Parts: sequence; C-alpha cells; structure tokens
Amino acid sequence: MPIEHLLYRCPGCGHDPIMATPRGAWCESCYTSFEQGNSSVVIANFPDGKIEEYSVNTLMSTIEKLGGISRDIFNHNGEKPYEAHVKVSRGNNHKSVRWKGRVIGFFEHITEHQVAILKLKKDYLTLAWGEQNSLVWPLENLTAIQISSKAIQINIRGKGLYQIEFVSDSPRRWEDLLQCTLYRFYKNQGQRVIAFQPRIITETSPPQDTDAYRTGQGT
Amino acid sequence: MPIVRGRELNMIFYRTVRRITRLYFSARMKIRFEGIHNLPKEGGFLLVMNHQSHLDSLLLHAYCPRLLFTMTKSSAFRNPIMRWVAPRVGAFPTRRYQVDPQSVRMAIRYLEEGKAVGVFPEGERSWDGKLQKLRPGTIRLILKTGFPVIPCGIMGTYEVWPRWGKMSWLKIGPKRPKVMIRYGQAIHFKKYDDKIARDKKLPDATKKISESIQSLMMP
Repeated sequence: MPIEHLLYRCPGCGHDPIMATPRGAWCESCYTSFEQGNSSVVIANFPDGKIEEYSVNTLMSTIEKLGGISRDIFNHNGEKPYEAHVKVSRGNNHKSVRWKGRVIGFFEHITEHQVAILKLKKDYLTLAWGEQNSLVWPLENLTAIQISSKAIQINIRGKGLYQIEFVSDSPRRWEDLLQCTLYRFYKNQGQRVIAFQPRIITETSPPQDTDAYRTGQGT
Repeated sequence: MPIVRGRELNMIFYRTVRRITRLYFSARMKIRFEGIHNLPKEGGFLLVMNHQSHLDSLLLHAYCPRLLFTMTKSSAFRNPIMRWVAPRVGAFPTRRYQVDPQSVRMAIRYLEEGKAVGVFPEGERSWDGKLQKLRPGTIRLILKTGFPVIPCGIMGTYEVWPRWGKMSWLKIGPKRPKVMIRYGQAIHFKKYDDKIARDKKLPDATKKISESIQSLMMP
C-alpha cells in the first residue's frame, strides 16, 4: 500500500488530499514531499530545503490532531456526502481450496469490476454507476468492513461481499470514515460498536461514551 | 504407490522452497532467534505472533523448526499461482470479513493431528509496527481447542517492509537489517467446550496472550 494511502492528508498543513508521486506523496498546498526512508521512517522534504525524518506514529498522530479523516466528520449532516470513484466487484460465490483430497478452506470468487461512485451519507452508503443504476445500503445492513491490500471489503446483509477498490482515494481513509460513521450511527441508537471484524458487533452503550470510534477506544 | 509419491514430492517442494527462502533471507537480513527450545518437539500447538509485514509468515515458514500450517487471508488464494503454491507450503485460507467455520475446523484438525498451527491474532499487518488489538476469534479458537499456545514476537520486519512501504529485494550485503524472532514459554489454557464459558474467559485470555506477545517484542 503506497505512502499516500497512509498519509491521506498532509501532516504539515492539513491539506486534503495529498498527491501521489512515483517516490511517495506530495502536498500541493505547502509543497512538502514525503517518501520512505531507511528503517521505515518517513523523510519529509520541506520547500525551504530542510529534510527531516519522522516516525509513522508521529505523522499519524499529527493527522489525528489536525482533525483526522475530516475536520467536520462528527458534524456532517449527510447533506454533503463523502464520495469517491471506485472499481467495485462482487464476491458472488465461494470456491473451495483442496489439498491432498480434502477441502482446506474457501476463497471468494470476485466478478469483473465496474467503475462506480461510492457515496457515504449519515445513514446509508450508495453505489452509483451508469445513468440510473444505483445500490443503496442502509448502514445497519453493513455486517463487516475489512481493509485489504488496495481495497475495502464490505459485507452487506443478504447481499454478500463487495470489494471496493479506490481509484484516487485512500482505502485507509475510507476504512476510518466508515468505522467513524458506523460508530456515530450506532451511538445515536444507544449502541456502541465493540468490533468491526470479522463482523460488526454492538452492545448497549454506557452513558459516558465518547466519540472515539476505534475499537477499544470508545470507553 | 502414486499417492505416497505425490506426498513425497510435495515435501520436496516444501523443503526446496524453504532452502531457497532461507538462503535469500540470510543474505538480506541478520536473523536471530531466541527461545527455540520453547517450541514443543512433538504434538499440536498454536503459534500466535505479531504481524508487522508480509515477511513474517515467510520467515516463520522458512525457519520454524516444526512444519507450520498458517491461517492466510482468503484473498491471497484468488491468484491461481498462489492457490497452487500456498497449500504446498502450509497455508490455508480464512475469510476475514465473516466468521469462517471452515478455517476453525481446519485449525482444529491440524492440531488434533499433532501439527503446529500459526495464527496472526491481530488479523492484519500493523500500520506502525506496534501490536494491535487481538481479534476475539483467535482467542475463542485457543479456548475451544485447549492446545498449548506459544507466543512469538517478531521484530525488525517492519523496518524492512512496512505495510505502507516497499521492500528493496536486492539490497543484500554487510549492512543487513536485524530481525529477531523470539518464542515465548507455552501458555496453557483449559479446554472450554461451552460457548458461554469461553466468552467469559475471553477478556482474561486476550490480556494474557497480548501481554506475552508484547513482552517478546521488547528490544
């Protein structure tokens, strides 16, 4: 997964989105570029020629302090949805993996992808392609969210698995976005999400619950 | 006997791959081991380890003294080459976006046959090299089987190939990065046949395993 998927907004100035370059990522607002250094540090090249090394943790916590996924994620009312161009494919059935005559497991057979627009609103997720084709999934129908190498796998109740690959956005941002929105959604119903994988599990929310949406931080 | 010959050929394949990967990894990294004596010489056990990089499972398959069967994400089996290779080197699929009873059955079957099963209880690679929250499914499996658990800490692979970065495969020479694989002492849990009893024990077991992996990740 490339570096611009990890740093989905500039840790220097907070500009969103950060641009991909052949060697790393680049901010078109403050002109700082980021690339992988030795021992997994991130090298930031500032426009004044200064070069500094940062750990991923430092940069990730800086992004969190700048507002994380978005400055108004906890205030958005659904009128202005988050959207992204995606390639969507469906896991229409499961195929078995055999070894020495016995089935050792299953993997999902994924269909050909379709280019679509994914929109996230307050209470539902939509997928639109072509002139009139669209799918609307209420958030309570999402049973699992799993980030994979370049995509997000979403399991929809009664519909099965959808694999969503982002054309120009970060799957990690969308994992955070979906988890955050689901956390808010269930919180409004007096529930708290305690696990997102392998399936979304909720429990009755304690009254002092916070807005922390990452599993284990919501207490 | 054609079946026996087939099995022998498969072991030849496994051993050949193991030798080649060992040769490469020894040239690419300085690999150190601690606590190998903690691995049982015979009988089934679960090896639970932290997951920092794609290299973790490759290193364990290459260097673990016991033949290891590891739970691998099902999407890896979509590629026909991987689908052929993976079972021959001990990988079996697990679907991460849903509860996968077949992977649990396989793990139990291997354990009952006296084999070693490797699991990454975090369920995915860490973004920052630190241990993430352990998923309850793995802990439930441990409590369901009652087989000994060997915690394992892998350090240094994040520096070589982080989740958000690339690995330079040809960078071999004297300045090799250090990788440490540390096996801890076996943790024994009682076998819980009852689901309610298992769920009751879950937080304690999670804490115990998480702390033991964490302690093995200390420099």
